[in-house]
Amino acid sequence: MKKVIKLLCLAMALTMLLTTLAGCGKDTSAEQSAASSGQSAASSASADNSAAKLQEVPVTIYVAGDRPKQQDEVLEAINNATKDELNINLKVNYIPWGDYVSQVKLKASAGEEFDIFLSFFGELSGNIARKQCISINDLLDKYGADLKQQIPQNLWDSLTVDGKIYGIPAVYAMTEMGRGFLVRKDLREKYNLPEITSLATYEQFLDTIAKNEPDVIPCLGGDLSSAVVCDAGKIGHSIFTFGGDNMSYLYVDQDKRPLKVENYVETDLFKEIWKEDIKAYNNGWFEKDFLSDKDRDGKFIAGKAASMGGDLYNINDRENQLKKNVPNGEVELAIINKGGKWINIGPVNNFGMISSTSKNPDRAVMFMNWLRKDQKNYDMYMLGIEGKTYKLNGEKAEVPEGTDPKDRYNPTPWFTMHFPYLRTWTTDSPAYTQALDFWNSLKPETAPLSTFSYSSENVKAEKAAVEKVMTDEVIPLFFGAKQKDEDYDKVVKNLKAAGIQKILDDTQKQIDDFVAKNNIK
Amino acid sequence: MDKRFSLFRITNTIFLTVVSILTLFPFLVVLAVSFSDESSIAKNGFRLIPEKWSLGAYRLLFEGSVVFDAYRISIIVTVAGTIISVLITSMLGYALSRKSLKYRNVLNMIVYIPMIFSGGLVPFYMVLLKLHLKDNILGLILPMLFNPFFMFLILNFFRGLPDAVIESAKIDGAGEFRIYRSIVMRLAAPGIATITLFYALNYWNEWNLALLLINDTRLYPLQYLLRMILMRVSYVGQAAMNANVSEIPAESTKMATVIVTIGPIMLVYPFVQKYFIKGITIGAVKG
Amino acid sequence: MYHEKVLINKKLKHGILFELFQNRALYLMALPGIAFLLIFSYYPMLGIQIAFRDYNFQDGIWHSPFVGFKYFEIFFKSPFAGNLLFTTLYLNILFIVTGLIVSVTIAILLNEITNNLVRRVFQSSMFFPYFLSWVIISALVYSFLNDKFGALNMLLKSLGFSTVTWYNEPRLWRGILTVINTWQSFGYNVVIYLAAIVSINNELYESARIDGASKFDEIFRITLPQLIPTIVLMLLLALGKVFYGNFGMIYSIIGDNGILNQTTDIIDTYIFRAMRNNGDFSTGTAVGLFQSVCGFITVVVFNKLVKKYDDTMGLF
Repeated sequence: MKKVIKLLCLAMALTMLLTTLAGCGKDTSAEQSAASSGQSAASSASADNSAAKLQEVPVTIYVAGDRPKQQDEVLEAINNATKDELNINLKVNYIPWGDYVSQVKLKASAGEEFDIFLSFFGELSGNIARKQCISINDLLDKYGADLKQQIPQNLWDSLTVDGKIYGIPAVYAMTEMGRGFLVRKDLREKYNLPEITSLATYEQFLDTIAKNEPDVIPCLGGDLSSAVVCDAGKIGHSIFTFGGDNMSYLYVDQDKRPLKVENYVETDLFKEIWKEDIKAYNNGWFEKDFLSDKDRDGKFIAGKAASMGGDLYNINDRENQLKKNVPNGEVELAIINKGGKWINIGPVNNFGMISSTSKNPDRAVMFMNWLRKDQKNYDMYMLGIEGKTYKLNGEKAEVPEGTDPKDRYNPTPWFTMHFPYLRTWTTDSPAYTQALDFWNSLKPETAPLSTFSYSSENVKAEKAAVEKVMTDEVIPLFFGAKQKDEDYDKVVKNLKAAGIQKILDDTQKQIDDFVAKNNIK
Repeated sequence: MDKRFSLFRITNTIFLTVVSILTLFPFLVVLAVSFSDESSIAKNGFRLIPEKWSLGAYRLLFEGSVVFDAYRISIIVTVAGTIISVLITSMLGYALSRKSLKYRNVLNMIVYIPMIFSGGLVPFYMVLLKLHLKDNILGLILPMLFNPFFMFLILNFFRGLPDAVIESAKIDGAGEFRIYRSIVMRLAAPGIATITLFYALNYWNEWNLALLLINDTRLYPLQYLLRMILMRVSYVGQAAMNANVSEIPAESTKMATVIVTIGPIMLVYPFVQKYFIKGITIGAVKG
Repeated sequence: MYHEKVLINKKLKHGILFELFQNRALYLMALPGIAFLLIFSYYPMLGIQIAFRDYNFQDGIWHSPFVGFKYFEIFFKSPFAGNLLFTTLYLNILFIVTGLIVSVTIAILLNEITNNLVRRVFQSSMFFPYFLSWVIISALVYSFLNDKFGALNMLLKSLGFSTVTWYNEPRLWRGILTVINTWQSFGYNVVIYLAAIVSINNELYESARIDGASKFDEIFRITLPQLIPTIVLMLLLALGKVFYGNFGMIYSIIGDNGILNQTTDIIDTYIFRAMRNNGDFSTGTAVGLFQSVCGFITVVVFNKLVKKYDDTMGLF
């Protein structure tokens, strides 16, 4: 026994030490090669083109979401089908949505090798500053012919900084998504209310619910700002606010020239929305303690709420789940000022990036190109194996018999979403198909700053302080919990004390640079 | 027994009963909700006695083999990890409890500092990668093998042991390993039981390492799997607008995940508990 | 043999090598634990320098540009730093003191229960809350305190009282959080104190009883004094973390509710919120380092004080 323990001690200690040491030795070389691969990849790729047979390499993707059960099967099918063209061993790793951004950052920062990852516009400047991604201009020229052809130029512009392209945009309906929200159609019809298309019709709906349905919350989430702003009698379309995590504090009116950034809290617009939110709060349209709401979606699907924020991508799930609890419940998407002007305010929010830790960036871009090349390839990734994970019913996809619709193969598409190839399912809610058709039919104008990428790198300390004032004071005020003019004055004073002017100055400089570079008039 | 104490006994029992009910109550709510029909939760909120009973949540969880696989992984990790951890921790604790060890204060300091200072996740993850712990079951065991807090706990127990027993064993010619194994481990049984329990809980409850290291669904430990079910809500943040939201778990499912993870511990705990009962220590000292 | 030993003794009496040789069995026993710490704790500590660098992924820990105290400024320049620090310490001290009193009291009372079965049932039920994750606890708290559907307001209403919008009342929340924290963790600490009580030599009680001591005498003259080393140890260990807030708990329960933040916002939640977007590792590391250094100083000071009082106690 004594000997056994002694030996165990020694063995454990030694293995621990040795593995670390061995690891250290190996890793330094790996690190170097990973660092240089970014630059060398493009040149080595250009040296000998496609003619030579490709060696098999792994291509790993990180996305957010839940891994579908059929994922491995589908990946194997893709690997086999692309043997001659790409010769890759494709792997897709899923990280839960709530953990995704921080985990992917961590993995890349520790030098873990992977090739493609899903990213979001708010992360773009950070991704570049942290050198988490590589620029792909050369790789696109070499291998991205289909990508370039399939993706509109303005989306590429969103992800181009100083002439360097950093991401491969997803193509999807994104114009003013905030202009719509989810409404219980059955409740609206119960009281013979008109379709909600303006602030007035929405107020009528909220008021009727508040008076007649004591157990239903008229509006979850406590914000009427998009209804106020987009109303035909007001601005008529979404406004450009940015810079905050919980609530934006920077505002640019893109109809005016020169483009000037303002403190959103100090605008008349803000005050107007504030007054409206106070009205809603006092009339019982909001929950009084909604700031601590832990279960917004849960309340909606339980039938305890009449409307909430949400967009066309939420309709199917919400309606399916609502019907379990409220059998006659129906969800529709209310759109404010539907016939008015539509404008592309923001950039493309979802895209795929090539990681700086990638060993085979060339093959990664080749794969991304393959995905967007044609409907067949796209279907193979998004729908899987025909007859096994899906069936075609005309242009629509159908869940094969014996599979529960909620267990169908459903990979996260956002790193490479492509609307021209998107198939609807036979099980989709009509409200969803309608909304989808509507968004596809839009011909939005593009706002001058829609591809402007804001960076807070220079004002980190001020940003931290301003964020706190926004969370602690502005949000409770804005949503009606504080109603006096003194409260408002105090908030404005505190924002100044937190250094918002420095942020405004820094942002203005960024905007001026952007305007100069892009010749905006 | 003595009349003098009976009043104290009665009030004490009543008081502890009240405390136990207060701690047990939320658990009963969780249990009841997990067995409720989802539509009755939607209507009435959380209730101790559900209007309509249902096994739906459990049926959903145990569909397919995923949960069973996860149980297997968690049990392997917990059993293997706990045994090695207790061994490593108690050996170090024993060594540091011996006054003849000249550098014990230096070593104490070495053990203490990591409780306060940490290099953060990035370099820690680098070490895990270097040790090739990705998608490796050892990755769920190795990084948690030693916990300074538990070392200080057990050290405290060892310090409380009578020196005389160890000295007399030394005079009898026993080596350090023998004293550790046959005397100290037995005398400090309540302490060893405590750290065994705590290590086991640590391994059982761990999901962070799985989040960092495990992509292979077959290696998911139970807690990680259930956390994924629990967290399957729309991601509020940047991607909110365009998030591909999966089905929001029903309240009953959330609560069933809690019961599924606590269940085995509740079954094992009463057996571990007997080691906290008076008698073992005293017997050893006298014998 | 004896002579050899004497010779070695004379030569190397104070040398490190001699000590290592003399106690080789003990050092061997210590080796696995120490090796673990070197690999999994000390080696990663090199990463602390991220706090002083503009960390980027290609240049890594060693080569990213050095920026000095830039990332410390983010926290200290904030007009809220003082208040955040105060709230963090205040809440932690509330948690520690309340937790200590409750756990020790319950452990002593539990020890007086002679029926094994009853005692096991009590102890098991007290352990329950420890197994609930903060996500679940926050859901339970919400279902209890929610304004419109919450159990407490329903009860108040049915009794004819006016209801309270609990989540809009900042002054109540330090108390509420202390109750929740104690409720969640005392069962865990009771295990430690109970094990310590069980280890107390029975002869002490026997001789006290012969002297005619009452139950209360036993508790205050024997049990409590014997528990002091454990209590001191637990306090010292807790003090090291006193500058770290309980992020998991507070963020799960309070979330981004700014109304409550004035009494509940701690360093950790503030940094998390401030860095949520465009967050970098440097700020987190810098603030973490600050919290560690403060905690370490506190512990060293208290350790000295404790040792002055009794040399056998203390961590090092």
